Amino acid sequence: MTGTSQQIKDWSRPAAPPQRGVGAALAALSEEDLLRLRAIARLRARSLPPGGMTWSDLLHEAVLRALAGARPWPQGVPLLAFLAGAMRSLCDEQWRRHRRQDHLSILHGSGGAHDPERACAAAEVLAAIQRLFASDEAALKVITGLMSGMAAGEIRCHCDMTAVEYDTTRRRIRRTMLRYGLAWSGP
Amino acid sequence: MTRTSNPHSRLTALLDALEAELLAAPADKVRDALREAGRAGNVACQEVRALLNEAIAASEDGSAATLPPDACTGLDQLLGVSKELRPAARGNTHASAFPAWSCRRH
Repeated sequence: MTGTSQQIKDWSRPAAPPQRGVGAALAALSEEDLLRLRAIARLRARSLPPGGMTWSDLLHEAVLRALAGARPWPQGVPLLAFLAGAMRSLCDEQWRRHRRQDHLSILHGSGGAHDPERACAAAEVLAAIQRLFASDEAALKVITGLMSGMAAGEIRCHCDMTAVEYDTTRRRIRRTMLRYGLAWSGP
Repeated sequence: MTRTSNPHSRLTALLDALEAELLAAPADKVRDALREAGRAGNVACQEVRALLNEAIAASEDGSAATLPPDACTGLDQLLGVSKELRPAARGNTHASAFPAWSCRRH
């Protein structure tokens, strides 16, 4: 898996020209992009505080903010990447709101890495994602490497995988994530 | 590079990588996944399309303006509005103490 920054450069999803509105760009999304969006929303929703928003709430809110201009769509950024970023920010925002509602103190800045409840929830989500790949040993190794923030080359080296093995595993991970995004319902 | 045992940081690194993977997935592979899913794929796409259309329509008639990040919480705290008073579901924003608050609760 190449680095995220490289992938951002490689994403072929067209960025809308500035005169084109978010609404028009949303209406023009292909079925493939709708599936990507759904899969990303379902993935991100896993990291929301318990008992709060669902994946569709998360996506809906991100879209509304984009449409309202509350979160401006930067020129040159693909729409899906922009909405993905909006959902990521909303997750953090939901945790901040959750802590305030529960009158929990915020010890350090955003509190993310030092919030015991969030750490506990994150551990559960990590376990759930690992279960998605329970029958695929190679995918689990790659997932573990990704969790540690390793780049593709490091994971290959660490797991003793050839480039072909790594790419094949990456494709399986992608397929699993897309299938997960297609699930009928659920959080 | 994350290199941490903190679950939150590990999850962030993993979600970012998986998200990048989904964004970078070739269109034909996504199409294959949709085709394999059959009716479930169509329903999934229709669901997202409906959600987007609803948001676009709401945005056009100005009924779904969002508040700035965390503003809802601030207002809730200030006015003593409890979580239970918030809209129970999307499309029920009129039940909210703050109609502008767009988050859907199920």
